Amino acid sequence: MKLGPYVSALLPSFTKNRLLADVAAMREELKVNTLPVLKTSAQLFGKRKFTDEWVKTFDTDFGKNCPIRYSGNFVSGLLALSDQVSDNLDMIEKMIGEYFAEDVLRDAITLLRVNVLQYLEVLGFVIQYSRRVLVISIGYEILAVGGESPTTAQGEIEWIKRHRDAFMHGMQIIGGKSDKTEEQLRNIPEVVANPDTVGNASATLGETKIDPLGFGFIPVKLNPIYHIRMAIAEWQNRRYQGALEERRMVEYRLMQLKLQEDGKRDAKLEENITYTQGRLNTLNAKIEKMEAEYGTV
Amino acid sequence: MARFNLFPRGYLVSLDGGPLANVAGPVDIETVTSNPKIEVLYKLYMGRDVNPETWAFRRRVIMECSKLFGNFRNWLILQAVGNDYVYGLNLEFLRDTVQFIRTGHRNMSVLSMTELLLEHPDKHPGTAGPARLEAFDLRDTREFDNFIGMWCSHERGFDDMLCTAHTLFGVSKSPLVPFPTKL
Repeated sequence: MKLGPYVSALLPSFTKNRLLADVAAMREELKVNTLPVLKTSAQLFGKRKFTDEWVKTFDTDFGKNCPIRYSGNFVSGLLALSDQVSDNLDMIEKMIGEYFAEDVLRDAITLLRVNVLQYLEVLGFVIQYSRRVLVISIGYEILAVGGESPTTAQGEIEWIKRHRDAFMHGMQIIGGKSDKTEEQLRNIPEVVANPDTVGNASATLGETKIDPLGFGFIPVKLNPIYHIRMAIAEWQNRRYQGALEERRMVEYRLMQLKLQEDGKRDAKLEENITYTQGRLNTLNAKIEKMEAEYGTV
Repeated sequence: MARFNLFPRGYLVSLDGGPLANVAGPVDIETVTSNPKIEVLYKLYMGRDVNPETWAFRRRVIMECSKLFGNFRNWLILQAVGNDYVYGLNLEFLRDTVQFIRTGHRNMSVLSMTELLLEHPDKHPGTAGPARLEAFDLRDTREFDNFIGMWCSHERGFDDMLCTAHTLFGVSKSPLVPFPTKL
């Protein structure tokens, strides 16, 4: 998101603890609900030649945009990306500790801090998207090889498609090496960037100086907790529950695909997939509703 | 006669700790609803009624796991070679558990897997046999001498061990006989 509109959409004030709690939640989401399923997926299907057309196209586009070298398909790429994200989380946490006071005031925020905030939002979004695209892709693959897969809610498919470009650009930003990214962030001038002055900063310093990582190319607000006075605990709880269900969904669908390719079926597994998909659809519909209410798309 | 306890998801525990060959002869298998000690420890852990980081709690879990599995390698061989109640995903869970002990990674979390396992499985005579051992790759006879240490050395390894023990030896989600409502 462009710096000006981004700063204008920030809450007038919030605490540093909110940022640190967000980092901790992301680390947990990555470690507990994302990395394990990515490891399994890469182990089982990281070299797979995809059958489904949508997955094939996504795989090609991922290959073109991923800043990290990997061998195999996008599933292996997501795993490599997540390892980098893990390092970058540590880097951004260190920078928050260093650059932010206990209270963060929108009118006194600096360019560097705005960039750190945007980085954090993109990081959380990329973790979430990685898991959700895995759920959809494995489901499509099951269907493409002649299996049955419970219907993913239309809203979920739309979310994946709508945010595809943001993800492709986001991973270029957060997939960079932590030392290089840190250097780029530290080189941003400590100039106040409140809604009234940010236009001048852009004109004087130039867009590449104030937004070296290119957040301006991501056209959406990705995390409402810095923009809306809201029940953060409720939001985070739904995100966490969603992550848990998504993890379970990937595990079950991987198992289903594996059994299917061995010519086997398991009734209990299929029953659990349908049940979990139902819960996931309901949870994501609630999150979508919250996002719509809070103006994040 | 070799004596065994049969747990709700089909896993066996030898009561004699005797040689594995015993399973080929006449056996006395008693069906049990759970190991009560593991059940209590798991409830304390899940209910957050105890600090799982304390040595007092860990010691109790380690001791129970040590008693139940005994010689882990032998216990695995018993399930693969001598247990006709374990097959399909119930066997897959054992393979995944061995993978976790070796690498710290599971293909499926214990909680997700528990939802899929058969409870009170029927006996499928002839299912078990030496061919199933291949999937466990047990060539190194000393590999699991310190299986608890290996298990707990991984991140969240202790938690995994307790949850696994509960899946293997804990109560069924749909017991055949209702639990008594009064003591």
